[in-house]
Amino acid sequence: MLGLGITGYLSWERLTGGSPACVIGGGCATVQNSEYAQIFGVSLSYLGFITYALMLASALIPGFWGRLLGLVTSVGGVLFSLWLLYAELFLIEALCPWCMASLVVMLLALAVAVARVVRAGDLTT
Amino acid sequence: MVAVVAIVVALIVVSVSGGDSSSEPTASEIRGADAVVTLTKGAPQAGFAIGKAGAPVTVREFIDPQCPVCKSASEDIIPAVITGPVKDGTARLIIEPLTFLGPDSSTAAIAIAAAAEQDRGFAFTEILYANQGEENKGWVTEDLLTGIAGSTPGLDVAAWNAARSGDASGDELFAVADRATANGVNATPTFIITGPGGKQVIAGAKGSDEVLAAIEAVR
Repeated sequence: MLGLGITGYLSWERLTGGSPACVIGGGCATVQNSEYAQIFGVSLSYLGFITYALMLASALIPGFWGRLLGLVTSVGGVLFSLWLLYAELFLIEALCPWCMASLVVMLLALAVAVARVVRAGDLTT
Repeated sequence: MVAVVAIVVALIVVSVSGGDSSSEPTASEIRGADAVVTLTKGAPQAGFAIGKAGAPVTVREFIDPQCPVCKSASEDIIPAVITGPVKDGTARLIIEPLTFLGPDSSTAAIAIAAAAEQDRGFAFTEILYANQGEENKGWVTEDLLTGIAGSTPGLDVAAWNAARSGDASGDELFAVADRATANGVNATPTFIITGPGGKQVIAGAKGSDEVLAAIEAVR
């Protein structure tokens, strides 16, 4: 839900045509306005929102397919968030606090997804 | 799992391969000068300001020359403010350049301050934004700044160049930083709009309607 909130806010800013400002010591707008802020023309805010929505759906889907969806989305989310962190540090040279918060949420989601898989015994079958 | 990793790697490759496509304008390719001539026509400029000195409303726009949102504001908000309340004598706009995004910000802000010594701070800033490059990638070159100075109507380039190495430009920027601190400015663009009806602060660049409404509210 926290991840949905973060990406929902950023998506709303995009949809309403507004931009977060360039924050002193932050630079989120720089990241949001950079070429790395979209993939194939789709804003990362939207992709993040869809990913979190799929995570929420995975929590509601019982059984193996729910656990698999949770694992795939969280692994993908973490890998992508790490790539974005790399881009912020070394390519854009500006950090986005929202993106870092999203990375933390993704890591927590991954921990939960792995715990679900381990507890269900999917790895031992 | 392998498929997910493969997709992420592919996305990284696509993103990186598209990373060097931008190019900075050379001195002969300065954009935006004609638009600034049209925009400023009939509006007096003084220092960093544009508009009548006795206008009831003062709009201070805190910017960083490298801030992409400030460039958006320059394109989407400032023209409406100039053609509306500035030209009808209701408001006076003052550019307040900050330099927190990196070394290119400082170089550009000093150039703006040097132009302001000839009352062309606003015009120089607008042309600079029309030619803004990628943040902290060394886009604020001597060629670019000299080209912008040469394209700024009414600016004596030799005097501007001399002013850049003088103390006055740096002192002006320290004063701007002090005003930002005093007003609690922590982001750019921030519009501080004051008038007989009070004070309004707008951070970010959501659109001209918000700024125009604030000017109307405090006039």
